[in-house]
Amino acid sequence: MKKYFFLTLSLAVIYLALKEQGPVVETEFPAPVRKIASQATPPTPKKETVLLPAKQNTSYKQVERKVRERVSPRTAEDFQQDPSYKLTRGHVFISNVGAIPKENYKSTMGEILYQDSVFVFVRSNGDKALLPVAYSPSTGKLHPISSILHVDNATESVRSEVKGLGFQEYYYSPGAKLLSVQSTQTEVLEVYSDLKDRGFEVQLEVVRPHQQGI
Amino acid sequence: MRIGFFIVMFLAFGCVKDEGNITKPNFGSGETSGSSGGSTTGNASTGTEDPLATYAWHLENRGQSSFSGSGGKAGEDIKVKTVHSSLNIKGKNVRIAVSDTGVDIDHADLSGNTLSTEHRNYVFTQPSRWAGASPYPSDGEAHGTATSGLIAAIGWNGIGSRGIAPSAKFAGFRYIFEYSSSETDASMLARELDQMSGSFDVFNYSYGYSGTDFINVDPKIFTQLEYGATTQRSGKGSIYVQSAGNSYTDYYDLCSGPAISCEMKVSGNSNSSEDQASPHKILVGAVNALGLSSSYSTPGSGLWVSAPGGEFGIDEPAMITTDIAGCSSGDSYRNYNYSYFNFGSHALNPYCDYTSLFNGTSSAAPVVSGVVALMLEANPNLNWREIKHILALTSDPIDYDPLNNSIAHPWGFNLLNYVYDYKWTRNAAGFYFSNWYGFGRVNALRAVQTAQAFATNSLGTYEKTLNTVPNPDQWYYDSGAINLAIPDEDANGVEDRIWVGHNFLIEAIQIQITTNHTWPGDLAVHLVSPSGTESRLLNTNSNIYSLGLNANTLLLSNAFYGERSLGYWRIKIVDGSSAITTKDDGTITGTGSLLNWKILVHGHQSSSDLLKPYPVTMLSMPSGSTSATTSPVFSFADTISKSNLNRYEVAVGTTPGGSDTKAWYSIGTANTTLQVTGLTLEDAKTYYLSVRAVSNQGYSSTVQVKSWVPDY
Repeated sequence: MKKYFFLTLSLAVIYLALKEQGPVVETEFPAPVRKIASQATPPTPKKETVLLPAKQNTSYKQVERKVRERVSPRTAEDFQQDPSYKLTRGHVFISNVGAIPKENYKSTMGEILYQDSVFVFVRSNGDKALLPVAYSPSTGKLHPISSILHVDNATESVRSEVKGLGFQEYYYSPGAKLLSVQSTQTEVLEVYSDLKDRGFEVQLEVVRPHQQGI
Repeated sequence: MRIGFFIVMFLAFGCVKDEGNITKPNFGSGETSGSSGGSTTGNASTGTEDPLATYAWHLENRGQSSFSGSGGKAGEDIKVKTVHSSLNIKGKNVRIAVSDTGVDIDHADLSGNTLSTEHRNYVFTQPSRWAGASPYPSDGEAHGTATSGLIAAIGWNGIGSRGIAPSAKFAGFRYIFEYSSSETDASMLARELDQMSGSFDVFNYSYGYSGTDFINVDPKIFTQLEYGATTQRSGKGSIYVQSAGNSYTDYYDLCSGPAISCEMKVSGNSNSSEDQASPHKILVGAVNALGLSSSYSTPGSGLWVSAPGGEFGIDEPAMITTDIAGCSSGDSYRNYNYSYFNFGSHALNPYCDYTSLFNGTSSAAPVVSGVVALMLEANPNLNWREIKHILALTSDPIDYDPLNNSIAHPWGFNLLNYVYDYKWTRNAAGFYFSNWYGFGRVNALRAVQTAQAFATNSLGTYEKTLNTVPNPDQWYYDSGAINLAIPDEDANGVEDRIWVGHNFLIEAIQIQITTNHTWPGDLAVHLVSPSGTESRLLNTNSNIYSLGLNANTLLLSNAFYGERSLGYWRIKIVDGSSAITTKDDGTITGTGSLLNWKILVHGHQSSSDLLKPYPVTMLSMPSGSTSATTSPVFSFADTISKSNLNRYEVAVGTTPGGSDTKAWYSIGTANTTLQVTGLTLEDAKTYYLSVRAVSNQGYSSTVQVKSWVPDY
């Protein structure tokens, strides 16, 4: 047994000695004391296998097939992007598309360009019921814009100034220095312009799904 | 040096310190299996034994099956039993926020440990209603009750199992809920910021975004995290613990019609979601009862540690924990078809108050949150960095086999002459790191013992390599505009490098990357430190959905922990697929170039470096000067502090920091634009201009370097 131990040990040392070619640097953190688990552990089959993953045949928590909800590239080519609006990171404002909750959609509003579980998205046609929309080029998804917009770098003095101007505070985060302002989805762009014109660092937010338990 | 290396290797392999005793590794399997649980464990206090605790392999793995079809492997656990029984440490006086689907706060095994006035419910639209509201979940939202039980179910009360920190107190946040037609307008940002704030020691986040997408998040999330980690807990910082994800093998369908099948097989990565790329979070992977990475656990260079999350509870053990009480709600009811333990007729679970089916990295994060609570009882003065440091020092690098260390693509999408990834790497500071395990599976006993003895405030001042002027939040080390074509289906990839002049002891590395690649799901991102350690921040052919790593996409690696940051950092981008493949609605073209990348070092200066002034920043050369042969012009920004600054010095050489072409000379402190004169340079040869700061005591900073190639 001891013989095999030293044989394994020697092979391991030779292997790593050959692998370790990088320069040795001074270790100034408290030196890690390591317990290395069994070297004889067999390889994990799942990582070598190209067949179906275990969770497909054993779990009540099977992965549900996610149908990719994305705008077709051809449709996206016609989007009129307006970069003058600052938005949730990774999104651009689209001026020729509007959103409406599914239950309020009528066919007279036009052809559905895209839909998710809550909203449908159609060409803007001047209908005031349609909500402003943003597009994520990286995920190919459309999202309506929230009526709650944000003032960045909002110190307490900025917060007081904004409130003093008559804007309605929704939430204030002293840690993030973020002041959230309540508006309505039909007036949010006007409020955005108003705040921007007054010199505040204002930003729109998209309505999108929550994080999920994993 | 070689002798020293062998000594280190012998210490690592042949003679290790285990729970206070010097022992040799155990090469025997020592496995027992068979019964679901079996023997009773001794009482750790004056209370009554928890009847399900003996079945819970994550508390003590004796090879029990935990009501599944097979047993685990004895000894493959987190060594928490001794912490409870011998050290009598159970998380007392530690406050935890469980931000999840809400909690059954009336559950008999939980209610006594809740902070009853500090729950929150974010279902409400108006922020004024969030705090203090009942977090009671809907019937189907059992997730938060299960995670809460893993952390802080009451111990030795004669019912159920027990938490890792059975004396800790927790508040339940109902933060995760269905996106439905009832909510057509809200601020997720305000909710997310709010559930990161408050007077809690630990925040447990067993949630994430879809593992199949690249997700951008608002930068304010990082601002709030840093605020929480540096100001909450009276400046010691709250500890944010988050699950890595369950998307190691995942898939989705790009086609909407049932007649067409274009299934996309995905291999998830923790770095696909920017909110997981923060050094202020402890990202957790899952391991099973055999001591291996759970089949679903999302790997990534952002992981810090791993912890029990189990498999699925049918064929192999999952986790035993609390469920929404009663047989008409919760996981135990909804999933009754899958396990007799959850029917409601099992003698140990007659009222369906517990489940044996909970799993995922959602389980692993609460285990770590519980361990952190034990560490904080042992030493309440530990700050957030010290908690991370102790976890890195004391976790067990399981599943380590140096002779079989390479990993193939989980779906078989391998690239010729290319290793998909390595299971473990050993960095130049001596830390073992794995994208599947982080620094290893947490070892509660060693973590608590180390915490008890740890000298707080010994890690130095936390710093980042941000600009000082003119934009304080701008990353300093930036490739600038580049355009390097990424070759298709080529293991050699394309490489670039950035010089880092700060000589920090690294605590984390973040990069931002911009490409115009049309299918970044093809791409691997390798980063190599000046010490030669390589980390893969993304893996080839992940098929993570995106139209581009196209806007400073943020990635995190912890693989370089403890190394020095000074020197060249190399990035390599490898495209694992041919240019045109059948992926998206038939075909997709996956080509593009690396356009820009940046690197941000998080760390601290070693005590011997504190006497040295900071290096200059923003060293640059006007584009018109790149052909200069005799008198190139450079500019730079001042050091952070000039109070003890004596002068700047400049040299030119044929190596970084070299002075073989023009020796070091002083340029004073008044000017930050300089023209080097009197040079005689060769055509098409690379030259390096080096600038350093020198203090009044004569200490020199590390050098900043700019290279150029004269073009006659």
